[in-house]
Amino acid sequence: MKVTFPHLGSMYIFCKAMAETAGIPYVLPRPTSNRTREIGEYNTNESVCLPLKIILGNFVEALEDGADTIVMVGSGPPCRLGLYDRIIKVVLNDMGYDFRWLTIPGIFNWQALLQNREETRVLRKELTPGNYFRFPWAMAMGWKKMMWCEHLERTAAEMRAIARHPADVDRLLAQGLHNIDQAAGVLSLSRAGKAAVASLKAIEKSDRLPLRVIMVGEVYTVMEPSINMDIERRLGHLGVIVHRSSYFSTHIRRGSRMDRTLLKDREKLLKMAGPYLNYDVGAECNFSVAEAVQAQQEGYDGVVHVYPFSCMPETNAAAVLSTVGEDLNIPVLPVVIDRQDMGLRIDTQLEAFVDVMMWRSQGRIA
Amino acid sequence: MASKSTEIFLGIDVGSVSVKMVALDTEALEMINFLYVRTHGDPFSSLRMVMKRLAENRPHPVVQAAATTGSGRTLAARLINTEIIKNEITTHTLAGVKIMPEVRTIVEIGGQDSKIIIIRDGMAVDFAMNTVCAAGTGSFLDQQSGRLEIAVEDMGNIALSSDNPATISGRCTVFAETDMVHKQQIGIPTNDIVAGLCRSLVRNYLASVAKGKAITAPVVFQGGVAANKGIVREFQEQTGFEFHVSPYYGVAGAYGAALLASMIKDKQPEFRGFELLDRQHDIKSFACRKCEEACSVLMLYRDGKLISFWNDRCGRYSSGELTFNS
Amino acid sequence: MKVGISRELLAVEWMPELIKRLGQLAPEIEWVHDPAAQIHPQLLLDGDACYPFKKMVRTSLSLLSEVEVLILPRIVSLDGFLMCPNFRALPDIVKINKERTERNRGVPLVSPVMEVSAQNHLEALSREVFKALFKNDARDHEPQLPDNKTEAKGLSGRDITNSIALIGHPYVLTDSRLNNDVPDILRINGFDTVTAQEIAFHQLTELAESRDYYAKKLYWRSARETLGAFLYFNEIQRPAGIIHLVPFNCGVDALLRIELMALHKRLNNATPYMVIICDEHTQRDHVVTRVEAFLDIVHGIKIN
Repeated sequence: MKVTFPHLGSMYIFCKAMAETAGIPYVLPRPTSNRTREIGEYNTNESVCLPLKIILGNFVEALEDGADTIVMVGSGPPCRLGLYDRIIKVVLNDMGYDFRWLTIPGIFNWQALLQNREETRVLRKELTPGNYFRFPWAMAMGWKKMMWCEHLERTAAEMRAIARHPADVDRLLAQGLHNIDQAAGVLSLSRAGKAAVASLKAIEKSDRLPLRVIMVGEVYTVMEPSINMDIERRLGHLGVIVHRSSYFSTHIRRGSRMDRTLLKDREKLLKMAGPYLNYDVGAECNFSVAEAVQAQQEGYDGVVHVYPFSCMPETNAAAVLSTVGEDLNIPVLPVVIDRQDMGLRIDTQLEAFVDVMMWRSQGRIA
Repeated sequence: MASKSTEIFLGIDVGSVSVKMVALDTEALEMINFLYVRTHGDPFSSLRMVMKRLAENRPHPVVQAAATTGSGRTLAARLINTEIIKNEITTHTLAGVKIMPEVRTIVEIGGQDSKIIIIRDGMAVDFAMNTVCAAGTGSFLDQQSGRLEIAVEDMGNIALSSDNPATISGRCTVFAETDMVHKQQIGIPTNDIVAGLCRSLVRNYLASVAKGKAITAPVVFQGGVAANKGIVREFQEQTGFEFHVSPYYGVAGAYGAALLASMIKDKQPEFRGFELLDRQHDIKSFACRKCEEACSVLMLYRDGKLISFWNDRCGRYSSGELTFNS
Repeated sequence: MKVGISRELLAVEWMPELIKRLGQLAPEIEWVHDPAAQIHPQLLLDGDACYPFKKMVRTSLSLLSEVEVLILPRIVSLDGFLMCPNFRALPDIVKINKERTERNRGVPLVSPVMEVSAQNHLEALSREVFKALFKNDARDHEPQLPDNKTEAKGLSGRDITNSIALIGHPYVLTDSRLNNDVPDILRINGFDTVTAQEIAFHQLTELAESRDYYAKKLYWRSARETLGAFLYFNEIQRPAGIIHLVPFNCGVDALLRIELMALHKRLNNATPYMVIICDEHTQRDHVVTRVEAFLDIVHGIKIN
C-alpha cells in the first residue's frame, strides 16, 4: 500500500508525519503546478469548481508516481464538496487508473462509518499490528506538527506586512516549515518550531503601518496558496496583515464536534449573518458574510473574499457581501478564482484595494 | 521652442495594446505634451517613441519626477529608472478627480481592460475590473472595424446614424462575432450592426464589470473607447445618466501617473529615460533553479552592462542579494 | 388579493399543489405569475449564479410592483432530497434587492422554509402561508381542505421511440427563455418531446440509487431526477435520443455531466445523448445547427 492525499496548504506535513510515524508508505503528491490544473481541466468541464480540478490533478500525479491508495476528507451537502470523492472516482476510473480509496468522514455519522468499514476492508489486511499500535502516536505527532505550522504561518502573516524585506519572511517561513517537516521527535519538533518563530520575529522591521484584512471564502480556496494565487503572500508584500479563521485544525475540531466553543462560535456567526441571510445556505456562505460583519466591528481595514468561479454558496455570499460592504462602510474585495493565469491582474486589484484602504484609514495612498 | 529646459512631471502608461505619455509642467500642472501610440506588443520601441516625442523640444525637458502605470509598469520603471509605480485603478482615479472633483463614478473601457471606480469625496472607495471574460473592450471594436472595413474613429458616427441597432449577443467575443457575421449575411445594414455592437458592448459592461455597483452621477468616462459617440449614447440610454467624456480620455492613466509624480515629495533617483534613445538596451533571462518556482528572472543590460533584475518571486535578485553568473 | 409567485417556480415539484391548496383555503386570491413590466437588470445584485436563478430574482422583483404580497418559499428539500443551495439564498437575495429600491419596499415577502415530501407537509405549509397572508384576518376556523388526489405519473402505454427525451432541471425544460427554444426546434424538425417530469419521481430516484453507495448518495433532487431519467431512457424505455439542457454555470449539472458522460461510454448500445448549454446569450441559429446535427445522428445518417 502506498497512500496519497490532496494538497491543502501545509496539511501535507500533517499527513507525512502521520504516515511516517505509523509506518505506512506514502507518496507525496507533486507541488500543485500548471500541469496539475490542466489535468483537472482537461478531464472535467468549465463549470466544475477549481478545487475539484486541482485535487483531481494532485491524485493523478500521485498515481503516476506510484501511489495506489487515495485518502480524501469527506464533506457534506449541500455544496459540491460532498460529492468530490464520488466524481473524482468516476473520472479516475474513466481515465483507466487502478486505485483504492479511503474517505475520512468529515462529519462522524453512522453512514460515514459504514462506508469507512467497507472501504477499509481490503486496506486493513495490508496493515501490520505495528501500524495499528502506532496510530494514536501518529495522530498526536501529526497534530503537534500541524499546530506548529499554523502558528508559524500566522506569525509570518503578521511579520511579512511590517518587514523591511518581506522576501526574507517568505524564505524563513519556507525554511521553518521544512524543518518542522523533517523533525523526527517531539523534542526536535519543539526546537525547530520555536527557532522558526523566533527567526521570524527577529527580522528587520520597516516603519510602515500595516493594514489588517480578514480573508473569507470557500474553504479550499482560502487555505491553498496554489489556488488563491498566493494571495496572503502578495498582500503581505503590500503591507497587509491577513487574518483568517480557516485553518486545517479548525475544520478538524469542528467536524469532530469535540470543541464546544467552536460550535458555539459558529452559532454566533450564523446569527451575525442573520440580517442578510436568514438560513444556512451551506458550506461557508453565511460564515463569509458573518466574518465580514465581525471584521467591521473589530476594526479591520477591509475584507478579502476569495472563491472559485461557479461556487454556488460563495456566489451568493459575494452578492450579499457587496451590500454588507456598503451598509457597514468597509471595503470588500471579491477575488473570483477561475482558470486563467491571473497574476498581474490580481496584483493590480490588490494594489488598488490597498490604496482604497489607505485612503480611508490614513487619508493618503501607498 | 523654449531656450531653457522646461521642468516636467512625467506619466507613462504602458498598456497591452498602446502606450500613453503625459508631461505636465511643474508650475501650473498644465499638460504640455502627450502621446498615444499603438504598440504591437514591444515595450522597448514604445518607450523609445515616448522619449523621442519628449526630446523633440530642444533642449529636452528636465524630468523632476516620473511615474509608470499600466500592465507594463514594472519594466517601464526599470527602463526609465523611477520608483513610482502605481496600478491603473488609482491613476485613473487621480485623473478623473482632477478634471471633475465632484465625480462619483468613473467608467473606463480601454484596449483589453475595463473598470468601474466608485468615488466619494475624491477618493476611490470601490472598484471592479473585468475578470472572467469581456465581450466588450476596445480590442473587440478594433477587430470588428477592421473586418467591416471602417476606421475605428468613424464607428461612433456610423453608430449614431442608425435608429435601429441590431441585437448582437454572445457570451464571449467569438460568439458575438459569429452573431455579427450572421447579421451581415442576412443583409442588415452596416450602421445598424455597428450600433448593435455598441449596444452589446455597453450591455456586457453593465452586466459584468459594473454588476451590482451603483452608478451615480456625475459620471466621468475615460479610456480609448470614450471617443466612440455611439458608446456614449448607449451608456446614457441604458443608465439614464449623463456620461462626461474626459478631455484626456485617451491618456487618463498617464495623466493620473503624472499627477501622482507631482505629489511625491521625496527626492527622486536620476531619470534615465532619454538614454533609451542613444544607448543599447537588452533584456535577457535565465531560469533560476534555487527553488521549485523556477522563475524566469529578467535582467536589464544597458550598453552591455547588467544593471537590474526583476521578475524574481523571492526578490533575492532584485534586492541585490543574489546575482547571475553566465 | 393579488398574490405573486414567479412563473419559474411553478415548474418546481409540489409548487402547483401548494397554489391549489392555497386557492382552496382562500378562493379570493388572484394569482400573478408574470409581471407586465420587467425591472432593469443592471440595478440588480443577483450574483453570478446560473441564468435560471437570475431570472427568478428578476421576475420576483418585477412582480413586486403588481402584487400586494409576494410568496417566495425557501425551498430546502423536496421528496427527501436537497435542492440546490441557491434556492436557500434566493429569498434573501430578493429581499436585499427589494430594500435597495424605494418603490416596493413595503410589499411583504412571505418565505417559509419548504421541506416537503408528503401530503401532510404540504398541508402544513399551505396553512403556514395562509396564516402569513391573512394574519390580520380574524377567521373563525380555517376552511377544511378537500381531499386532493394527485394523478399518478408514468409513460407506460406511450410509444416514445420517435420522441426526443429532454432531461434537466424542470424549471429549465419548461421555460422557453431558459431552454433556448429546443422543444420548439425539435417540433419543427418533426420530433415531439418527452421529459423526465413525466415519470414518477420515486421510480427515477430508485434508478439513481444503483449508482449510490453509503454516504455518497447523490443528494440533489434534480440530479437524481436527471440521472434516473438518463438510466430510464437507456434501460427501460428508449426514445430516439436524449438531450440534456444544462444552464451555463450550474454547479449541480457540471458534476452530473461528468457522471453521465462516463456512464454513457460504458453502456452497450446507448441511446444517443447530447448536452446543450443554455444561457441568457441565446443564439437560436447556434442551437438549430446543433440540434439538426444531433437529429442526423439519430436518423442514422451514414457517411459513405
